[in-house]
Amino acid sequence: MKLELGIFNIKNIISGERTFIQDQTLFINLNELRQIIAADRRFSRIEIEVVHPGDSIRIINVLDVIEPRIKVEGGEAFPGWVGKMGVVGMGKTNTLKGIGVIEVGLMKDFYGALLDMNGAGAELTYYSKLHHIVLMTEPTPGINQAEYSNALKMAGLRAATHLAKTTISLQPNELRVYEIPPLNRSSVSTGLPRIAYLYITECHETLKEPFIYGDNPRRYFPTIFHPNEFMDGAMVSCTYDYSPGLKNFTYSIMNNPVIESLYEKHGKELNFVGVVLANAPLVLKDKKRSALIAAKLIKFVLGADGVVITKEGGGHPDIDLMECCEQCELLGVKSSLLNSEMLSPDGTGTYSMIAFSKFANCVISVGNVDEMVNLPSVERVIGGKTMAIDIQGPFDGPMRIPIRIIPNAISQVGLTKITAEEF
Amino acid sequence: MESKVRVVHYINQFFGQVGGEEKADTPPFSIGGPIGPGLLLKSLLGDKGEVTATIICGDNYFNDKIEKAKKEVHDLISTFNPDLIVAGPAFNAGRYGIACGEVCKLAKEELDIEAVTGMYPENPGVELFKREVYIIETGPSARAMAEAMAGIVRLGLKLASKDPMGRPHEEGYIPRGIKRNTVAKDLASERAVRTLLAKIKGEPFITEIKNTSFDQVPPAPPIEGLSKAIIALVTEGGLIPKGNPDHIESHRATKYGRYSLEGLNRLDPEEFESIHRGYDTTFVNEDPNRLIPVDVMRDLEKEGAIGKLYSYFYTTTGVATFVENSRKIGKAIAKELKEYGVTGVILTST
Repeated sequence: MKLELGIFNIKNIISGERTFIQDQTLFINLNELRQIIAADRRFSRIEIEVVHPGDSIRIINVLDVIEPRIKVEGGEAFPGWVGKMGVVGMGKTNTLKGIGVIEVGLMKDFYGALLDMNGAGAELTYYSKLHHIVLMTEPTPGINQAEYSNALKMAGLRAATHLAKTTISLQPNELRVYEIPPLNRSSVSTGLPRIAYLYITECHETLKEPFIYGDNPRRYFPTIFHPNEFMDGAMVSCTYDYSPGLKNFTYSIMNNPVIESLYEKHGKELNFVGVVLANAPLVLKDKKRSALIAAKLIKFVLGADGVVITKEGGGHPDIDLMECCEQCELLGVKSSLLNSEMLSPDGTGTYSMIAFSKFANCVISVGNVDEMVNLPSVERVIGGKTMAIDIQGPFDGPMRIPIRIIPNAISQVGLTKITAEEF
Repeated sequence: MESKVRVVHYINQFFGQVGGEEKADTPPFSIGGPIGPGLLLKSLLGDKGEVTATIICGDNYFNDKIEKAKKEVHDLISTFNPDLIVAGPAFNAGRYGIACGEVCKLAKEELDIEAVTGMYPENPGVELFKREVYIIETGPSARAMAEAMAGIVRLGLKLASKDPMGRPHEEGYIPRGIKRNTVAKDLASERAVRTLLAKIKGEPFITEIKNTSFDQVPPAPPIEGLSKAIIALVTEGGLIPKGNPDHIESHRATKYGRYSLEGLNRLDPEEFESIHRGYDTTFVNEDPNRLIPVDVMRDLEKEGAIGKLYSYFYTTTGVATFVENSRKIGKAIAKELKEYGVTGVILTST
């Protein structure tokens, strides 16, 4: 499977009368964008605002961040949502680099993040370096959480597609080609270690899971994916009731840095043999079965020598991470894992996670989710007046919050340089 | 010019040149200036500091009369008003290590004076004091004195000047079991791939989260005479009387509640609800008896299968709770149940 990803570097966004790109600036007709989203009757109110890196702005109730992408040729993007049910990960896709579409909303049990575009909080996340189109929505009275979350996701993806459409007749700044061939047809030297990537999704319940090809991941067996599928939005986040530091945002799923790193080294230091997608069932027997099937695919179908394993969520998915690690190692597949740590605000906790296999001898830390961060006051707050129950305002003043509230400061797929070190 | 750092040196009877094991009962006393390893300390401090006094105490005295010894050492330190306490180094001497740890801890916590000691990693004082006290890693015996004291002086001067403390391997102290978020050179994903390749090639690699082992609790023996037993219901499923009178947290709990079942044949969804943030509470909120099965327990009472349902249930929320808090909550609940004569407990988990 081969995907040509056309990269359009965007340096600025300006609100204008037409939506188009000129000199790496994205001009947006916000009214037009608003109308596209407002067609959905599940919103009672929509406001759109553009924010820039360095703005003294705090965005609250951030539920998801999406990179604008559109399929230009040969297949679909965001299948099961704005795309038809078709094959993704091949053909040509265009993407706006430097841009994020942010979904903002609040309903009972929704747990949004807080994104500062300037100051100490901004330093902690890659997302503060993007220009954002912020979709601030309110639900129509009477709709339930699942309906609102579906409306939000559709709005985010429609906006992302609409903005990326500006690229269709243009030449990209850069063309990245992502290709690994079907198994056993590789031209890559057989002397290189064969490496797979195992991605464990959360699959808890409504609002606590991503969607794969438009469906929730509660009932499925581990399955093989081509890494390119993630780039075309095969999986999107609908994880709206989850501690932000413990979930994977759509932006980080599309730009999965483990996949990027494996591609970058493909044919030079390693042979990237594919991705296995598994879920994190709620019953131990199911976890064991899932881990066993995942390990079997990695060892006997992909023929991997090594595997990088990431997961999503806190608590019970730690067990899946460890079960998968153990089953892979027992079959002779070497593993390295990524995980966040829960060590209390002062970092004195003894247990980083709730399970630990003796086989897990290579675990990369993406930081202690509980550590407190001091944020400066800001000129403006957008995104609402209140947040999830345990984050209290006033939001324009200096704040002290756990780092997990800042989107992607802690990133379980590893799109962060934050780690936790022992002192 | 900055004034010299005033250092008080704590050492045992042996290094204080009082005597060996036969003098280990010597109570603490002080002398002006340095003695024994203090001479090396003095020369390493150079013009940056001075050894104002040395406190010498027998290891047995300190360990056998620990509270008394601490008080006496505390009072001795106070008379010199130092900026820094240097204790030992104790190398692999267990009783000496514990004394050095206690002295440093009391200096920091009771007198607000910076303190540093040195020990071999296997010294029992390390496990007891590494979190509160900076302990320079040393060799096992006094043969490693020069290197140990150099590390102690370097770190001690840094503490006294209130400079920010670096990482354990940079500063030479034993990791304290406290983790702080820092910024790495590369993305976490890149580190994961690179360490994996190293692991496959059999090259050395560093794991960033060390293996932790969990307690295994052996189950209690079966209850004899169940028909006379008092059975309690305990849950981490977050069931509370509506209004949450004890303000139990919906996640990361630090508290638990104890609520009466007196006169209740079943739990009424109008009166109880779950505030747990980690599972779908729909069914429990429709029928709280499916979490705290009072209805079934009353039937069993009537049938005589059990003696009695204990007249309170205990509850907390088990989601993203620090293990330390879980342990505290568990121990407290178990202690109360035991005191009230409960013979068995049904734990319902979610």
